[in-house]
Order: sequence, then C-alpha cells, then structure tokens
Amino acid sequence: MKTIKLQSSDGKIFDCDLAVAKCSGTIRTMLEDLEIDESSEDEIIPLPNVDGRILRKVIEYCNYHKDDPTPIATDNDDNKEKRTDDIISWDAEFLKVDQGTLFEIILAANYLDIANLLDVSCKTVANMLKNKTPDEIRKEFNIKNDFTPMEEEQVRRENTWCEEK
Amino acid sequence: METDKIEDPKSQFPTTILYDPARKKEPSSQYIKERDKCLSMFCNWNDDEQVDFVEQLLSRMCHYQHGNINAFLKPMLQRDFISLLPKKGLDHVADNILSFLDAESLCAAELVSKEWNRVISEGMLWKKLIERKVRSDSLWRGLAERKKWIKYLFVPRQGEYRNHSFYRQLYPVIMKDIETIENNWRSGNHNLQRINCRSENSKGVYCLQYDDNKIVSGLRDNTIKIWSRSTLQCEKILTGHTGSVLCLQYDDKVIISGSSDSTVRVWDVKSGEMTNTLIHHCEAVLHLRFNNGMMVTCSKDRSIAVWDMTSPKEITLRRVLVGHRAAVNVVDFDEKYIVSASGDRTIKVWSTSSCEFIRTLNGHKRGIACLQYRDRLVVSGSSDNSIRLWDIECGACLRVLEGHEELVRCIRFDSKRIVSGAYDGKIKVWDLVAALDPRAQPSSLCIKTLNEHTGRVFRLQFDEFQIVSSSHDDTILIWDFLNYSQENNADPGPNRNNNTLTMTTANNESGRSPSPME
Repeated sequence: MKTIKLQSSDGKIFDCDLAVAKCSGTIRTMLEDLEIDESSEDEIIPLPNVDGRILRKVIEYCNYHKDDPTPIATDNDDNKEKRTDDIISWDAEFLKVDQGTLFEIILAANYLDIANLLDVSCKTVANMLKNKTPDEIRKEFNIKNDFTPMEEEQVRRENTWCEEK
Repeated sequence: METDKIEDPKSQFPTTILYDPARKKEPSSQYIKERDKCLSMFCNWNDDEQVDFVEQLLSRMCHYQHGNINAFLKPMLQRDFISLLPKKGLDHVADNILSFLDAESLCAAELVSKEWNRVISEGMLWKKLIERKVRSDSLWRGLAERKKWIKYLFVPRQGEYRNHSFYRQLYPVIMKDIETIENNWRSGNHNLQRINCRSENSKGVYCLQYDDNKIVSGLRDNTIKIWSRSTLQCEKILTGHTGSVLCLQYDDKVIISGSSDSTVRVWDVKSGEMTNTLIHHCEAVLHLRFNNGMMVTCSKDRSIAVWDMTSPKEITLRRVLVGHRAAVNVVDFDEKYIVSASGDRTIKVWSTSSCEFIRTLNGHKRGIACLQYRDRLVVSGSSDNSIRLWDIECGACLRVLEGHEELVRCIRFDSKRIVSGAYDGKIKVWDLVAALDPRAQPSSLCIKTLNEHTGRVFRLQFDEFQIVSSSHDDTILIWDFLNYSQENNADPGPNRNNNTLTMTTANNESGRSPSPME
C-alpha cells in the first residue's frame, strides 16, 4: 500500500498509509493541490500546526477508523436529539487523556478537518460538564469565577425557572 | 503549535496552585546554588531524559510530597475549553461542545464565568437548543406553530430577528406551556368545541380525519362532510355513496371512503369530485388504510383486499387475504406487516411484501372493533370492554387495560398516550408509557375519562394538543387541551397568567433584565 510522509511542527516524520492520511480533509486537499497520487515518490506533507505527539495520536485514531463509512452530512443530523452517550468504547478509551492533550486533539482535528474526531472530542468535553453545578464545572476545568456577587445573582435569578425542578 | 502561552503555568493557573507553607520559607543560599546547577543541566537534556529524571526524583520522594506535587500538577493539565477555543478563533467548536447540553446544563454553564456567559450568548445557544427541540419533537413543533414563535427560529425573515436574551427568556415560557398542556391532559382540563351535524334522517358520524384547517367526516346519512376548523361550518358535502360512510382516509390529493354500500370511492380532496369507484367487496367496507401506493380494505364479507394505487384512477387489486371467520372490522399496515382484527376475536398478522399469513394474536374474549399498529406495538379494543397491547413480533399480549363499561369502538395511540372511545359515550385517556411498564399498577393507567358524547363514540383521532371525536349522537367534538382558559377556574396561583404575559415580555427587544455583560 502506498504510504506518504507527514511532518509535524517539531520536525518529526511519520510514515502513514495514504488511505489513513486521507481521513483528513486538509491532507486530501493538499494532496490534490500538490498533485500527489499513488505513483508519486516520497513526498513530505508538512503539518506546521500539529505537534509530533499529537500527530501520533491522530494517526492512531485515523488508522482505527480508516474503514468507517464516510459520514454524509445531511439536514437529517439536525433532526436528531444531540446525544453524547453514543461514544464507542475504543474512542472513549482513546480520549482518556489529560485535558491539555484533549485540547490539542481538538485543535488538530479542526485543523486537519477530521469531522469524526472533532465530533467525538467535543462530545467528550460536553460529558465533562453535563449535569454539573457551576462550581463543579469550574473545578473540573480550573476556572475562576469572575462574576461579581451582584452579576452572579442576576444570572441566577434569570435562571430560577430551571432550578425549581 | 501555539501552545506556549497555554502551557505557561504562571499566566494560566495562578490561583489554584497549592503551596505547602513550608516551601515558602526562605531557601538557603546553598540550596539555591545547587538547584540552579541542576536546572541548567536539566534544561540541556532531551524530552525523554527529562521525564526519566523526574521519574527518578519522584520515586525517591514520600507520599506526602507526591500529594503536594499532584496538587501542583493537576491544574497544569486542565483547560478551560470554552474560553480558550474562541481565543484561537474556534468559536464554532466551543458552540459545538455547548450544543450537546440540555437546558439545565446550559443554565449552569452560563454561571461559570463571564467568558462562558459571553460564548453562550454570542453562539445563540438557547436559540439553537430550541431549534433542535422543534426539529426532533412534534410537541415542540406543534407548539411553535400554534404559539407563533416558530417565525423567530431557523432563519427568521427580516424584522423577525431577535437577540440572545429573547430566546433565553422564551425557553422557560415554552417549558411552562408544555407543563400546562401535560397538566391539562392529566386533569382533563379542556376547551370543548362542538359541531352539530344536524343530519336529516339517519343521525351519526361514523368516521373522521382532521388537520389544522379541516375535518373530513363520514356520516351515517351516506354523505361525506368537510368542516372548516376556523368557522366550524360545513364547507362541502360529497354525495355518491348509497349507504353509510363507515371509513375514510385522506391525504393532500384524495379522500378514499368505504361504505355499507360495499364500494370504495375515491374523491378529489380539493374539488370534492368523485373520481373512482371500486366495486369488489360483496358486503359493507368496514375499514381502509392507504399509504405510499398501497391500500388495504376490509369488509363484513370476512375478507381483506390489498390494492396497488398507481394513481387515483388506477387502483388495481393485488391480493385478497382470507382467514378470518367473521367480519373484518379494522386493518392497519406498514412496510412490514398488515394487521387485521375481526369479530372472530382474533388479530391476524400478514406480511406486507408477500401477503402471506404470519400469526394470530389470541386473547380477546369477544369480537375486536378497533386497532392501531405502529413500530412493534398493536393496541386493540374489543367488545369484551378491554383494550390489549401486543408485541407484533412475538405475538405476546403485553397488557390488558380494563375500565370501559361497554364495547371499545375506537382507539388511537402516540408515543405518550392511548385514547379510546366506547359505546357508552365515554372517552378514556391512558398512560401508554406506564402501560408498557410491567411494574405499573393497573389502577394508575387510566389518566382521565371524558364524558360529553350522548351516544356511542364511533371514531377519534388525537395529537399532542387535542382529541377530535365523532359519535352516534350526530356531533363532532373537539377537545382542546392547549387553549384551556383558566379564568373561571379555581387555583389562581401567582404565576397563573404568566403564560400569556411572558410572551409579551420576551417580545420586548430591550428586555427588562439585560444580561450583566451587556
């Protein structure tokens, strides 16, 4: 199988199956622009926005998912209730990383245009803040409450309908 | 990647680093000298060497020290995703994360920090949440149309655009409306509209179907009458049947009706013209259903007919299903099964594609008058006064609902409720979700009994907001659970008028309570 070389921001080179690399919309476009195909020799694709450690993770993800059917974005997606409890166990395990790494994965998935990875990473973050009190959310993400007591009281008052339940 | 800033613990995590007070003591100059020497060597090692070194250090330290280091390390690994993503120009990713939240979590998220509050506001996340609900839930959809706030959703027309706080205030108004509707169903609070058909000779309305604009009814006096929802006046009378109109269904093109004159007739829904007559059954046509180019009719002649509908004028008989030993009172079907019920006390299941008989559902002790089938569920009503719920795949009876005191003539269900009408004029509303829970007490299943008809209830249809029923008493009743006025009612709680008033408040662009960030 044809492999290509991907170069991370810190200069590391990764050999990667063409099919795996093509999970990334950004790389697909680059390949087309550079007119690289099965017959091209040892081209190096520079990815100046992705650090080597993250690129390794992303390639691991794409390698596992390379045979997934391409998701067709339709209006239908909007018709479904947005769920976060449908993360497959391999993905959940893959994303059991510290928040810093998860953040970098999100940036990389966005930059590389890997919709599945971006979606599942966003879901993972959403799950970290779902069904928590504001204080619990701040603790989870190490956030300082910068509301003045008056401002906080104002927002809280507007949301009382929600707490009555 | 531009991660330097984020990984700099000084700028990013100033508040939560837990210093051991002991470490705050002035360090000795000897220590500082040795430390700086170590650090300069450390800085010259590569990543792996640095990690190895720290591991070596850690393994020489005690649990108490590990605890301190852990407290120091933990915040360095945390990220405030919602604030950091917009700083990278990725507002849409922050929006995407927040769009997975329900209302409760979104309320909590608004209180986290000013930046979170801003992201939620600028991302119009309440609007998006409402839009998702409207797309996925028919109750929300119906409410959006009836309460007229749908015009503010999706891409509003010019002039209908509203700011974030409008949608944020709209959400609780919607929740309150939904609660009110649920409560109205539960307590039987409704606004009743009555259509008196004033039939001349033989009185009674055998069948009906409605939408937002009209009610199409089949009468005992051989006519089909179309009523306007807004005026409740009869707009059209279709004549042609020479016997009572026992069943009908319409879509946006045709009305198809079945009659005790043994014929099935097709009418143009707009002009009311009769366009086709199917003469096949040799006794009264008791029920019919059509969908997607296929029609199923059933008759007192004990047979079921399956038809292919190429066009209103080209309807050809595909197959006749025989097996019932008495009149077939009702049929229903989808792409998988045709389901029929008969005076012979049985329900029979047939394959839609092959028309082969599959199984019989036994259990009712007398003839079966009505039935609906959807997904895996069949709900039937019988002359034994009971309602039964069946799993069509295995044929098991899941639940028997008892409470009606006479023959159960008509039945419908949606995802929440079953509504049934009986020969004693009573309509009962049942909790479907509870009925499917084997642990639920039988006494808790009937939510409400509605008693307004003065004759047999022949037919009914309902949705989230209303029941429309017809009866031998020659009336059509519209039971409206949305527009129930509470003015004359007891229980004037402090928020009673909020439903109507709050909409006006929410409409007010400036809003009385602007967000603290504005």
